[in-house]
Amino acid sequence: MAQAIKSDRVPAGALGGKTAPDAHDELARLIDNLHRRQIFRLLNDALESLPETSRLIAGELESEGGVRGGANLFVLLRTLGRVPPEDLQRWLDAAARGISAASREEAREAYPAPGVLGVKDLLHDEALWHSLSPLLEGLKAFTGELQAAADSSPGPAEGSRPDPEEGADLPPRRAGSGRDPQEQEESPHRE
Amino acid sequence: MHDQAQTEARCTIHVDGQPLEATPGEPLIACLERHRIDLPHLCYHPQLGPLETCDTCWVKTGDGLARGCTLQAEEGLAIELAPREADDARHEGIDRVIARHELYCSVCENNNGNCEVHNTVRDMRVPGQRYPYEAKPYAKDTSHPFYTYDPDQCILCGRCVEACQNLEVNETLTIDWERDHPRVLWDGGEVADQSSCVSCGQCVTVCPCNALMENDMLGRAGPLTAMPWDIKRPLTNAIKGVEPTTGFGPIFTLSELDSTQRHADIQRTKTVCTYCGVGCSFEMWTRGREILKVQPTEHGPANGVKTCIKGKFGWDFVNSDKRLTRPLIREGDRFREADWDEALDLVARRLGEVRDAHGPDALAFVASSKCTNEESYLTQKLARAVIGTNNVDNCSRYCQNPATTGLFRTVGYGGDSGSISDLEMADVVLMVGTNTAENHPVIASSLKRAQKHHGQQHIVADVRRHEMAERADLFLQPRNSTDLVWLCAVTRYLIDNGYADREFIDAHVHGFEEYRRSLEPFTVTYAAEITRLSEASIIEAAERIGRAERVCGVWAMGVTQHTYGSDTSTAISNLLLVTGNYGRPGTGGYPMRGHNNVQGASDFGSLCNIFPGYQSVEDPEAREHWRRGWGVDWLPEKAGFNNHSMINAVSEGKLKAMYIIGEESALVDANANHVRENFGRLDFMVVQDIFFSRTAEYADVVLPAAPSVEKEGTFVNTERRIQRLYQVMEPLGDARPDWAILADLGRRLGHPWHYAHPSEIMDEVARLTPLFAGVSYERLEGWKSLQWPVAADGTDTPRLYEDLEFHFDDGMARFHPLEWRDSPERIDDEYDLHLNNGRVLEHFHEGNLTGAGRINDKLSEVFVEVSPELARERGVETGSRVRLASRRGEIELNVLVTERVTGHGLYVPLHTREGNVNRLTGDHADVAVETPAYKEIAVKMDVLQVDGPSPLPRNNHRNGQRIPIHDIGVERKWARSDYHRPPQASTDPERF
Repeated sequence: MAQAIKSDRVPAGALGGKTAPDAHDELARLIDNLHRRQIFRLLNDALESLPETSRLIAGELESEGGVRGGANLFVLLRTLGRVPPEDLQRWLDAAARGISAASREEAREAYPAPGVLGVKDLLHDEALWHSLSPLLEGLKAFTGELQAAADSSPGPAEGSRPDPEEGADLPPRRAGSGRDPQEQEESPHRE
Repeated sequence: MHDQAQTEARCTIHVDGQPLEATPGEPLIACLERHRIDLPHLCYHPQLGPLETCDTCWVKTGDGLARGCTLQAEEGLAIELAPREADDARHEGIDRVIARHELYCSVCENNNGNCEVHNTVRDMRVPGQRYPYEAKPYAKDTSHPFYTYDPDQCILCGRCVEACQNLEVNETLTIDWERDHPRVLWDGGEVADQSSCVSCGQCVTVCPCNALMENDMLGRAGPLTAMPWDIKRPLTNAIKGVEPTTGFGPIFTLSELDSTQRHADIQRTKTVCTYCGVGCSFEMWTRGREILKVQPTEHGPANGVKTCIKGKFGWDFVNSDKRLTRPLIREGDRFREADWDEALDLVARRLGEVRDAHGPDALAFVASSKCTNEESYLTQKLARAVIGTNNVDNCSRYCQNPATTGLFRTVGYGGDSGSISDLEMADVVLMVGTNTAENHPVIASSLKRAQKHHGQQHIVADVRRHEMAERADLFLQPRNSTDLVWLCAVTRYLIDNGYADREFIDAHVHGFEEYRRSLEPFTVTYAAEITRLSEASIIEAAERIGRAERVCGVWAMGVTQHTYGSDTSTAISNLLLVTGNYGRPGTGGYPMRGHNNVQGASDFGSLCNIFPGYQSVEDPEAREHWRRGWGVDWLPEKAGFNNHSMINAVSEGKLKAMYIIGEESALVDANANHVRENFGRLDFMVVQDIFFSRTAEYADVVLPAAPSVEKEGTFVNTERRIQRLYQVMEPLGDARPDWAILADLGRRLGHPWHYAHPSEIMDEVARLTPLFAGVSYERLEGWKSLQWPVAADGTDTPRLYEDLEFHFDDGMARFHPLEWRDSPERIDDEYDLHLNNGRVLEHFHEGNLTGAGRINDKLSEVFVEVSPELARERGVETGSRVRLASRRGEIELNVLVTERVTGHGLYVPLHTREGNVNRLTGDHADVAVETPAYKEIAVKMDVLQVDGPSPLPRNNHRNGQRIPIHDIGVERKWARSDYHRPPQASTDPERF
């Protein structure tokens, strides 16, 4: 007569199994993905041609243009760190709108010469001067900075150092700050 | 016909001047989605209806602005989406939503492409945060083992509350709209884990964001979600610092990249639940073998977005360290590991030897109701076509066969008459011996909803006051084993008082006069005397049934597991025939199938007397059909042993070998001591299971099988609905799908069983079985399903007998006369208490699946329910230790004093190896089909210790206090002085 054999007499190896991926599984998956997405091929091609491509890159970096490009890139990044993102966003939006306006068909039609009276009228055009005033303010700051930089610095490598704190404090979030300002103006219900 | 007429009706609506074809009554949002017109919405869910909380779906009508979710298509409806005021109102709504919900998508567990808040903000092209987000003055609720509620992320859409109150109808969740900062509450203010929450998970499923998340998703959903919050928080703050400048655009791009990456990593596989017979289907989200969540969708034909605790959260067993993963061979007093070749060669050789030595009828096979239809089919084919015996059965013997017999006798098909939608449509549902809220919770929720919102009446008859009884319009609590008496008395009353549908009877049912005569003893007075019900309550039941247009009968183990269970089942069907309640929408008989595939296991032939599709093994024509179909020389002619009689056949020396698949017979068959003793007498025994079960302890060979999520196949639910399950993950270790094991064994026994996929098995079944002629995997693809019978052209049968053609040769139903006999298990002076038993919501049956995981946090210990009056009489209280002894054996349990039982009635749940109630049950069984009379046990109770801890944990839902409400109460939100109707700007957008 067969006696019952309790579970404690069952070899442990016959119970349970791997139920979650371990590091080896993740590595195998990574390898598989790198292969299927041609990343391995890309890397292998790059590694095999490394001596030639290294020489090419080194030559380009060493050239006058390469040195200048590298330095300018650094200056650009450093300067961008000083500009409040809201201001940059506004300027870039304005630039995008200006480019768009300039590219329109009507803009390509030649303006007729305004003549002396026309120039005189323009000088009295309040709306025009009102719209140009930010540009003029910006121009004044721009030329002022150029002058100051020229006065205090012999060259670009030692140009005006940005204040490390400058630009770090973003303005507090406000209701409506993320929306299109024009849309907000036209939408009194949301204010 | 009504349904067809409705689908054919069409109307035209106008949206921004454009005509659109629609169905009258169709929700506007659904209509627009069908026409690919985007109307934003967040709180609306097709299965919950309009909640009107999110204020993002405003449209302009002739009467001004209206919430689009409240509108339904009708001829002449004209709306505009484009006007500025509608657009402004929608934007005001979404701006308020994101003032409550912080968008940190890339580190959010819900950033999986289906976050409705994320998608709505993106689709509305919201440029950025208009109202600042503010955290709420509430802590995150992490108390619950399965989900977490984060008030900081909650948008108060009310979906969770609506799902809890009116879909699940558990009535735990509410929103306190009057607080300074309104919030969702459990039981009015408890933490989730200590509330009446039944862990159905529906609130989590319908949550449109991450306010309610499955705990298994936390930290595991995406590559960045694993970061602890002390890293996530500063990173989120840094991004939020940039966001006012950049707007949502670039940040959303990053989160969409993250979401796309997660799609490559997380698999979503449609599967079908492996617990009860409701047949819930859902997607299972996995990463490798890790189960991240179960996500039902509105496409699930039986359940929609509904689940219960087991279907939603009961999957820890899949990765249990107790899973069998290598074949085992008995060697002396221990088992040793073996490879598949050795194990299956041994099985094939020993089965052959027993057959050669003792004949094919010395072997018996037990199929599993947990396995697929294809596996059931192969099990019976192995028994019949390979071994040559009809000794094959499944656990429907333990539960469902009496119900099927009642239907066979009267209407012909052994399956539910209609669909769950029919149950929802009924005016009266008569529930007899069915604890639906705990055993078929998703169907119970449909019934509770119909009762709560559509005036459906519930007549509940049970010896125990369970949830459905508490909610009943009329609760009958008869003496045990007397249901037949009051059912016949009700039927006689209906006939005597002009409620019988004579036109229906005369045209469609045989044997009325004989049946009527058989009812003569069953007066109301007689029934009251036998059942101890009041005469008034019996008459009230009859009147409610008689006056109703549409009646459904629902019953389960409280009827079937009795000595005369088949007769009581028949009495229910007789009653339905008398009142003409078959063949129409909202009518019919519905025995609730207990296991996920107990219906299919029988449908596909794993019964000792029938071939697949219910063709008798004793019918020479059917036998010849199957002999030719299987290409064998002969098939056995006589019905074999069933599950129950197999044990006695071992005892008598007639059975020498058994092959048991996924059935814990040592625990679930009645008179367990007798069962185990006889397993020890077998010459050879094979157990094929996912766990080393108590039954496996007696085996010579144990084969590691695969649960439903590790294989493909189909199940049949209680509605006769065939659904396909897809493989979610590979089998654990060396485990194999049961169909693959059986096919391999068939080949080793010399038969050409070269099935490469379960679909090939189904094709064979369809070819040979008229009931399934049109079934194919193509027709069951994805969420599609078929309800048998299925014609060759694929036409299925959601409702039986619609043409009033019953499943007999002449198309006529039959009345089956009955008489009442009392249970042979007598209550006497020594064994003076009646012991009832069954499942509880949290666990499935003996608990082998649910006992392997975190569900134990909610309930682990088994107990005996004792009525307050008996507790007083015996001097026991909750926590007391008692010994219950029957005429067969004894067990020791802790007491739970409760009004769910009354007088000298006791109740013991099934879900544990300790305190196994089948040590007390006996050999007495249904006289027609030998289903053990599990519910008829006379016991005595001895007090061992009076003081002790409660067996019911404090965090069990039975200790909670529900708060029923009719709807989420959005009017209370609108009534607040600080609520401003969009497009007017909000003054306190972060609050609600």
